[in-house]
Amino acid sequence: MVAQPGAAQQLGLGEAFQAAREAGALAAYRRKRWQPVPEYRLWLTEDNLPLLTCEQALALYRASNSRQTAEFKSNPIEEVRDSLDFLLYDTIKLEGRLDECMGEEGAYKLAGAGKEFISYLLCLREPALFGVWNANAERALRLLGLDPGTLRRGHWGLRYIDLLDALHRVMRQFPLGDFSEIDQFAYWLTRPAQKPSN
Amino acid sequence: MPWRDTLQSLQSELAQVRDERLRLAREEAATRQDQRDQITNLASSLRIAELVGDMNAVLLQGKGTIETYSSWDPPSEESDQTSDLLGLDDDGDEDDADYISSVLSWEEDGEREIAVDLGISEEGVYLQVNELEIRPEQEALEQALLAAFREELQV
Repeated sequence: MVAQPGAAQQLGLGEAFQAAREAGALAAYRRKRWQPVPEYRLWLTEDNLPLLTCEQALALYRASNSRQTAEFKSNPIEEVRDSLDFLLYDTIKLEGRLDECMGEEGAYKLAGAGKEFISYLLCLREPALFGVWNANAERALRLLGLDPGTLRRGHWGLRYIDLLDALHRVMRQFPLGDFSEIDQFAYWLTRPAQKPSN
Repeated sequence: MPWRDTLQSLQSELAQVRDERLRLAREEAATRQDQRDQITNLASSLRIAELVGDMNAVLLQGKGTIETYSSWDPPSEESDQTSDLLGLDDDGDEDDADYISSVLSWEEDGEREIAVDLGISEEGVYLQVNELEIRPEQEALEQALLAAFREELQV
C-alpha cells in the first residue's frame, strides 16, 4: 500500500521541494529534460517542424525518457513530422489528437511513441496547459491521494484529460508555476528519500 | 612552392589527420562496446530476465507480456525497410546513454506495467524499476519488483 501524506506533511512539501531544487538536487534531471527546452521549442514551431531532422527527433525522444529507441528510429522522418504537426497544431480536440497519436490503431501513431513522448512534446510546446504523463506523475498522484483511478483504461485522450485535471490540483496545492515544474516535483517527490509518510 | 608540391604536402598532412580521426573513432567504438558488454553482463548477473519471467509465471500465470529493448537494438524486421529513412545509426548516438529495458505488461482492471531499466549514463551505472532508482544488486531488485507489483495493483 502506498503511504499518503497527511495534511500536515503536504503543507511542507512545496517548501521542501523548492529548497531541494535550490540546493541542486534536481540538477541532473533538469539538465536532461528541461534545460534544452528553448532549443527544443524552436524545433517544434509550426514553421520549423517541416525541417525537423532525424537527430532532433531522436533527441526529443530520448529527453522524454522513452525506451523503445530502436522502434522509434524506424519511423520515416516525414511521418515523424506529420505526426508531430498533427499533435501540436491540428485544430481537432485534444482528446482526438491523443487517440490518433497514442492508440495502437491511431492514424498518427509512431512506432515506439507512447504516453511519455507524446505528453512531453505537449508540455514542451505549452507548459502552462499540458503535463507530462509518466510513472513518476502517476506515482506522485497516488502519494498525494489525487489519483483519479481512470488512467489505466479507456480512450487515451480521456485518460490524459483526467491526468491533467489531477495535475492541475497539484499545481494549485503546492503551488507550482507550470506543468514542467510539476514534472520535476513528481520526480523529486517519488525519490525514495522524499517519500512522505503519515 | 609549386602548386603540385603544395598539394602533396597537404595530402601528407591530411593523411595524418584522417588516421588520427580513424583511431579516435575506433577507440570510441571500443569504449561503447565495452559499456554495452558491461550492461549485458550486469543484466545477466542480476537475473533481470529470470526475475521478471518468474513474476509473469507465478503471479500472472503467464498472462503478461515481456518485452526487452536495448538502445542498440536494430529496428524490428517489419520496419527494417524504412530504417534508412530516419538515417541514424550507432555513429549518431555517441552522446547518448546505453540501456537495456525489460517491461512486463498485463491487463488487470486496466493496463499494468513494470519496467526495469539498466543503463550507463554520465553518472555511471543505474538500475530503475518503474523509474525509481535502486542499487544495482539482486536483492534490491527483487524488493523493488515486489513493491512495483503491489503498487501497480494498489495492494
